[in-house]
Amino acid sequence: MVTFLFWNLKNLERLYAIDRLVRLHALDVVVLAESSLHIDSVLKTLNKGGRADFHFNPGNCERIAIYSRFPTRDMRPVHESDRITIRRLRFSATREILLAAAHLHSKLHRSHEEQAFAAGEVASEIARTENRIGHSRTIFVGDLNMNPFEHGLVAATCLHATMDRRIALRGARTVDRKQRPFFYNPMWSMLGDASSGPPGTYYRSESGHVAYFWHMFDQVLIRPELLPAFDNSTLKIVDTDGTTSLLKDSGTPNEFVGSDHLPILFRLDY
Amino acid sequence: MGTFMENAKEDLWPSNLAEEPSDRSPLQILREQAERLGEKTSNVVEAVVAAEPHLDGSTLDIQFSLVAPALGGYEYVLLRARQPVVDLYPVRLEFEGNSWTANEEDGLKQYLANFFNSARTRKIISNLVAQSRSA
Repeated sequence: MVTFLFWNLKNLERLYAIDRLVRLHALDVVVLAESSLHIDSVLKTLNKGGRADFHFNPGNCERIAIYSRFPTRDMRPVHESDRITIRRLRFSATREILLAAAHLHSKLHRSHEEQAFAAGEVASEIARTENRIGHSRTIFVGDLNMNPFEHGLVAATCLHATMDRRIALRGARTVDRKQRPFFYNPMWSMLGDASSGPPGTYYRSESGHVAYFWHMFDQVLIRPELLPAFDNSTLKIVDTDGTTSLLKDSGTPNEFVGSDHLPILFRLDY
Repeated sequence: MGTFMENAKEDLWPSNLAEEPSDRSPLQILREQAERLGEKTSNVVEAVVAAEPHLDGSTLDIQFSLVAPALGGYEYVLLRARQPVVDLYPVRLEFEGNSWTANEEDGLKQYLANFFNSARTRKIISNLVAQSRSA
């Protein structure tokens, strides 16, 4: 069982919260966006007490930082850009997956259409890398700055992420004479206040006619090949580090103790 | 009838139809620059240009990636361009999260020189060269 956590830190100093989360959930892989934490501080904190469990796994995508219990030789980048890093994550000599992590453009700087085009490019990069490496046991995690229902996530030429595991297990569908591989997007089940955790991962008070208030920008998508290793019950929007709530009294993210985004946590039994 | 047949054979096309446009296409320029990189690094780091038609059919999406063969074919997408299929320009460029538009060949070359000489590009290429040599 490998436990992953993704968190957009908004460049805030949240080293102790991360440390508490690592211990609370026995995290194996911590993927951070907007992290300005010093690598040596993180390693000293996570490895305190004479342990050397955690490694910084370097890459050329400056928007993403990855710390994990896997040495760098088992977390090698194979494809990167300014937005995305795709790592070959080896659990053992015979078991590996592709871990793709991204921080896509904000709605403040890109129109919906531009976000969808960019998602299409990222989807192509993932598919091309899968073809090159020779398998599609891929998870894609990150701050996608889009909701699960937006074109960038749903469209066949974009990430093609469906809310239904059974549909995803079909593998792909043909649209415009091309095979388009599915992702499964479990974040659909986390939308709204009847879900087991907060209604989303990001909250913005809005005054326009169309206001969602809560957004599910932070997501994990899973390729059909890896679905047998993923149990939805392991997916959580994290609202406490075990000591301190990451929410205000109003129930929205408290960036004075956490970030404006809530972390997401999930496990793979592969 | 004879006049009709003669008219039917008449060639109304200009004689210089196959002449190149005065500006070279962004795709052509990027491919040339990809070759230059391989020459400079002895192919330790190569550049690959991939192009595919955009969904709207009127533009071409181009990716210019750095590739390190000794690192298992590691790829880094350095820049993206979108050029009109018919008019070639303006071309929209995206480099490290920022966008620019070049209206003609000279403008494009100026942007590319800036991108290729940036500290970021130099750092990525020198990292890849160093890692490739120790791989």
